[in-house]
Amino acid sequence: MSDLGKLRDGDDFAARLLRAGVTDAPRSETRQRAATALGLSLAASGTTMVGASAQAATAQVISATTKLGFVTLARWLGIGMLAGGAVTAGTAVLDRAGNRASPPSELRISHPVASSQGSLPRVTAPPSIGARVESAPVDSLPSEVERVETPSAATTTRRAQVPSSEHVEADSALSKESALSKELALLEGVRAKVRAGDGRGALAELDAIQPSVHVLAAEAELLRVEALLESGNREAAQALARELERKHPGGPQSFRLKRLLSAP
Amino acid sequence: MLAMPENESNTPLRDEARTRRLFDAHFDFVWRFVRRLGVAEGFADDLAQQIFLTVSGRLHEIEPAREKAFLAGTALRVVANHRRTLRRRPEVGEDALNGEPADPRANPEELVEQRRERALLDRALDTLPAELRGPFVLYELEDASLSEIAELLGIPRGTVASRLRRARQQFQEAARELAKGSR
Repeated sequence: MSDLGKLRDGDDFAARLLRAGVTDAPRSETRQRAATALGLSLAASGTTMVGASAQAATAQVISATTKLGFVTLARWLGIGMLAGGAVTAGTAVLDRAGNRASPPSELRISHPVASSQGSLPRVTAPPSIGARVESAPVDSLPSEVERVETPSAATTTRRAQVPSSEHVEADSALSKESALSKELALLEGVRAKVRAGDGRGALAELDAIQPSVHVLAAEAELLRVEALLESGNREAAQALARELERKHPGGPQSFRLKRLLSAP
Repeated sequence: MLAMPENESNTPLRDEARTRRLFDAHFDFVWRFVRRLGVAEGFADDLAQQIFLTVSGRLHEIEPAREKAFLAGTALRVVANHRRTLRRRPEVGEDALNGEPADPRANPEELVEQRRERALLDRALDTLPAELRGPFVLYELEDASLSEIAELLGIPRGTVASRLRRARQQFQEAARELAKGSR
């Protein structure tokens, strides 16, 4: 029997069902979690951000950009008024400026983080994305954003704060996501040192960041094993690996630990 | 206790590069294969991850030309184990972990339709016995040739052809029944 045509090329119901199956794909978060569990660097794992996460990130960029534009505009107007000795008038302008559209900006924001569902570790999201937005509505502003200047602008990084009781919940969620993104970024720094063969540097950095790493503590310990191996301290690496295995018997790290320690 | 082999030739860095290449090339295939073998999306995420963890721990056993076959074989075993676990623990319902479709380009109506069609696809596939389902999914959804399927599943090409023929008949019958019910 030679290879046949595909049923999905037909125009019946069976073909429709098969075509729906062909386009099925895992979520980007699923890929990212798996890449992290395998110890693959997030930036180089070939994963892309699509779907709900991308949409959520875009929404955050839009709202954050609008707010940043407003804050910047308000600040400059306020400074101008103060220089002219019209403090009262400047305050009034600041109040009225609340509904104005924002100028173009470029922002760097934290990526949303997936929730934990199953038995395997769920770690997700590249540390950040960049985006350009021309204008956006003023509502739904987070209270804190980090600005990355465009090439033509000054290189100073500013932080703008506008307290708003309406957005406390959103701020809290962003803060949690930001915390995990920071942990990921910290561990990526350690991983880079290990890959560069700087075991001692990686160990020193791990010691320095240890108080800041909570969610990804297991990943940090695994990196410590790698760093110990890289620095030539195989005995300590083996001892730590045994300790990790004792704490988490048969866990997903076991494979990586065995792989690491199988090197000559 | 961890086994600590001392005389392996692979270095961690080389292994990581190979794991990364395998992951980038085949993760979507493995996840989709697991899904179409009848595993709900919530479980498929974990099983696909588990398959790659297993394979990454056995890289030195895998010939470069047989990586996809190794992944497919591992997927079949992992899914079979998963089914046995579910039979032992029926309180863990598959439906509870079924998630939304992943296509970010579809509008809400298309998403609903896509999800409905995929659910019907899975019901039609559920009518196939395991020995027919694997070859059918690989041929019809993953575009593997008969020879590749024979290689992937470790069975003769003629057996693949006869299983595929039976699978196509059964699938089309199931789809016709489902079409009547969905009108």
